[in-house]
Amino acid sequence: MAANGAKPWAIPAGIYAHIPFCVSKCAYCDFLSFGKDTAADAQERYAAALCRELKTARESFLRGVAIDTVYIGGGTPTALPAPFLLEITGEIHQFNLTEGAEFTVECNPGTVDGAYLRRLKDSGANRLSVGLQAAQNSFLKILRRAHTAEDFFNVYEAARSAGFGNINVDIMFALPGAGFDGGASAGAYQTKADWLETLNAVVKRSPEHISAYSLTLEEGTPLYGRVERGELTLPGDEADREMYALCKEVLSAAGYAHYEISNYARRGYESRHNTRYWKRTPYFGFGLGAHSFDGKARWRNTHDLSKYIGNNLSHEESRTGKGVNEEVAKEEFTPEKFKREDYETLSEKDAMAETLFLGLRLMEGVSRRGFERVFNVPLEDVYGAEIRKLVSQGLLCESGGNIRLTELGMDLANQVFVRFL
Amino acid sequence: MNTQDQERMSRIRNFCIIAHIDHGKSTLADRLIEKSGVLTSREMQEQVLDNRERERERGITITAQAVRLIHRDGESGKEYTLNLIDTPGHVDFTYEVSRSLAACEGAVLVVDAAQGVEAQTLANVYLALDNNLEVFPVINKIDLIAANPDNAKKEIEDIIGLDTENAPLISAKNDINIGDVFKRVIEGIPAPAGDADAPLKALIFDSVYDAYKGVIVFIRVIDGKIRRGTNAFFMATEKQFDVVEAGFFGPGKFIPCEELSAGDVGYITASIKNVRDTRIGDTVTEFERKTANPFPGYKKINPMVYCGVFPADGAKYNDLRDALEKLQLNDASLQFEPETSTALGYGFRCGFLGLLHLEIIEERLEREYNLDLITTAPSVIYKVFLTDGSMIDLSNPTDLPEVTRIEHMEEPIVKAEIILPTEYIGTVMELCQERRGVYLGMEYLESARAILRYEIPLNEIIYDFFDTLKSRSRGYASLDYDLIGYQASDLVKLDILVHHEPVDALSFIVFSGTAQERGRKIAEKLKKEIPRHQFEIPIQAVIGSKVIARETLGALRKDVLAKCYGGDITRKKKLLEKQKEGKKRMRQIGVVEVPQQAFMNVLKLGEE
Repeated sequence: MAANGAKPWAIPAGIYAHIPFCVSKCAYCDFLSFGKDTAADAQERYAAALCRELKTARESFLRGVAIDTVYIGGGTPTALPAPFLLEITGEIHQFNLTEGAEFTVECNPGTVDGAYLRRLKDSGANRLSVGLQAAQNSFLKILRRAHTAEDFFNVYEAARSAGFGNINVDIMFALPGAGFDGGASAGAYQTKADWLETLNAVVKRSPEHISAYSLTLEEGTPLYGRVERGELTLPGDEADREMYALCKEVLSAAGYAHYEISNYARRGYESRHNTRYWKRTPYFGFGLGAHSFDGKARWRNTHDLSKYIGNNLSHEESRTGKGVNEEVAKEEFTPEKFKREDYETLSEKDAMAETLFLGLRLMEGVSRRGFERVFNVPLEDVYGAEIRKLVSQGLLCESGGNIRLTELGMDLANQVFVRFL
Repeated sequence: MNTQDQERMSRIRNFCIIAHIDHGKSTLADRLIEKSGVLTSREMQEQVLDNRERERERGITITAQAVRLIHRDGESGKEYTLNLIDTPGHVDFTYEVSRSLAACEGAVLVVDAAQGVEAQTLANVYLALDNNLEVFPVINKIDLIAANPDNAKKEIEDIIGLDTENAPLISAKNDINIGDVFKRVIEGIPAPAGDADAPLKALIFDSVYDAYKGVIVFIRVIDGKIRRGTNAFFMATEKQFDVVEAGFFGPGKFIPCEELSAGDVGYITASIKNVRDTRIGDTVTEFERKTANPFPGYKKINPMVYCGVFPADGAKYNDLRDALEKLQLNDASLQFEPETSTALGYGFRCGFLGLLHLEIIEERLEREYNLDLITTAPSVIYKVFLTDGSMIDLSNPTDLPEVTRIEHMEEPIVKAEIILPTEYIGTVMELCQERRGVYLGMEYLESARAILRYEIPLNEIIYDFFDTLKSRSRGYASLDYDLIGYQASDLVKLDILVHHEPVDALSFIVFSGTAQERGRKIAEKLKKEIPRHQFEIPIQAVIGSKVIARETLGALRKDVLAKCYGGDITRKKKLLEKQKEGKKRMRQIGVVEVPQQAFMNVLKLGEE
């Protein structure tokens, strides 16, 4: 029994650890990450604070809880010097990890070499997620990725050599280019031919998992500004959907199962950690701005780096805890007192809506029986009218007691999801 | 008449302030009130005359109100009663202005030292002169860096023909030379004439409804006396009431008194339930002893502009009706009747004196009554002559009879006066021509400014004319207009179809020569306002069965959220909730969902 009275979860939970550092910020990224401009010792102090947070949780509300997925994401986790990252993986290994737990680390080409990857593998990471985005350096430049396509291929080979038998590759379509409506030449926006080239380059290397996202322009990012100002042109929605269709075709022909709107995997290699998000099984986020869900409530950590690191502590103090009253330090990191912001206990209605709009992202869809088991009320009673309307609009279909998105429904998923709010 | 009455009347001055918007009328009024010693600065409620929230914001005064000032003259030590009657400063309220003026003997013309004379100032000065008022100018804002009092004086002399030799140079805002204004009011404005012993003759110049006292009638007593118990007779409406209370206008409050007599400005109450019984311009007399010389009687003011007003939330229909009824209590010129629209549901067809009046009512409904409204395109009243020889007044385009039944149509024409810096003459003339204006003439006011006169159809004026005029003249042109009559015109009804369904709220009458252009603009705008659907949506502008413009809104191809970083479901949910909120504010036109805002936005075409 944990000190705060919480019971260990009956089912295994996931751990997410966030590393908010990057070599440089990508042009489309609006996520919480810091470039080179942060204080020299910020990374070291951050790693120490993260370890302390993990430790505190492990010794309190997560004591004894089985963990079957771990995901270290960012930012770019491998932007941290290897010793800091290994300190974190080491800390995570102190948890009650289940046999064969999935342990993913995100990395970007240009941040790691063979030695780094071998040390990572030896530290227990068994899945690597590598960002390629596009096979053409012209697009990588527009996206302000800090690497070339060649860097990616080298890292990929190095990861295999290091023994990673489960690799995900991130790629993106509907990328903008500088202007005219033309063919595959550099400067134009991404064409189907460009996209096919990217797909083939990835398929040729045969990763176990592929995430293929349509680029989302987030307000406030440099890329958004350039498109707004007319310096860059996006392919239209029509082209976007053609690329999406092409992706499904090429990857399914290559033996990948399309298991989530944007994710493809060889059988048995679906991302178990990401599936938690869609299936609403518990996960606990550590590090700056990390999100948690315990099955009933959602919350997140502070977005304030200095608050997170604890500016009042010197590195030596924060690392060792020396000079700090142990009780105070512990209190400071008590989830309730320190890290939980935007804490929201979900109502039954919220939980039902989530079950639909998250579950429908999975191609297997939402099971009527599963829904009834969780909520003790038939899916029909809650959403019958909405489901019938969406089926009549060709956005949903049903088979084997599961409600699923149709092909059209995948293109217009939000139109479906809002009906369940 | 006894000497006491004569002495009393010799110390009364009834006057108003005429000024263009922003030239400082309310500020000067505040200053006079403050200086009159009735109120201390602390008590002084800013902008006393403009006591309604929305008027304050616009810096203009909508309906006439009055205040009594007690001023002790420094030199003679005599105490004077100064009745300041406020006048609406806008073209929509010309008749109300003329009645306020008729209650005065004089007017203070306030001219901004930096801006000079404006079109509306001119119109109101002419009204004052027509009413035989003694008008004297005051140059305000002399402390502004851009102030040019000499130029302002020269304009007043050249354009209006008033002597400016003794014009006070003041700053109402910074309290400079306000004493000169009092001096000029006392010396320059005649004391009221009239006979306190003659039969009662009083002019109604405004009225407000009060939930406890009934209608409070604002009057200027010309002859005779009125007091509690007087059996008052309103000569035009032929209504009889026993006066319950008589009184003066204290700043921000009513001060009951024994009686009002010749020369006085004040109010009476008489348990009057309906503001329509107290018409502005009517004569109040005594039933048993009627005056032989009543005023010409009130002019029935007819709305010039109509539009549909609908609650955004259909369930608020009754709230809207209650609110309109309440507003009407104080505003006899506001008219409304129920209207049903297939696009917008249940609402009201409302009639207004003009566009400003429309905007004021709309804003009051939204602010004071907390209603979320959708208003349709404003329409003027067309005279539709039918082949059977009859004629109908058409204020709602959807009521237009079949084309085959129409012999011809006429539209209202106004005479517009535009005062503007000469450098904008070219662009403004172009605008007037575009709006079917007929050039009447132009005069140079001084070297840098001119007055342009045009006859323009009112329907062109209400279609964005004022905003366009302002934008093309960088805000320097001012406009005034008067209805001069009706004129036969080649008019057609333009309908908008969305996915082949007519949208009644977007139908309007338009000159056939500009129909295509107008239709094209609306279709283009609507295309931007309607979100994409799962199917392609044609948007057409049609006259009868003839399509004159078409836009096609392509089908929605993609609406899907990308990746969810690190399990941030909350953000995803917020995005979906925002999308859902948007859906709520949609109106169903056939199978198409149209945002409510679209109905108003497409009509604000503007110059993009």
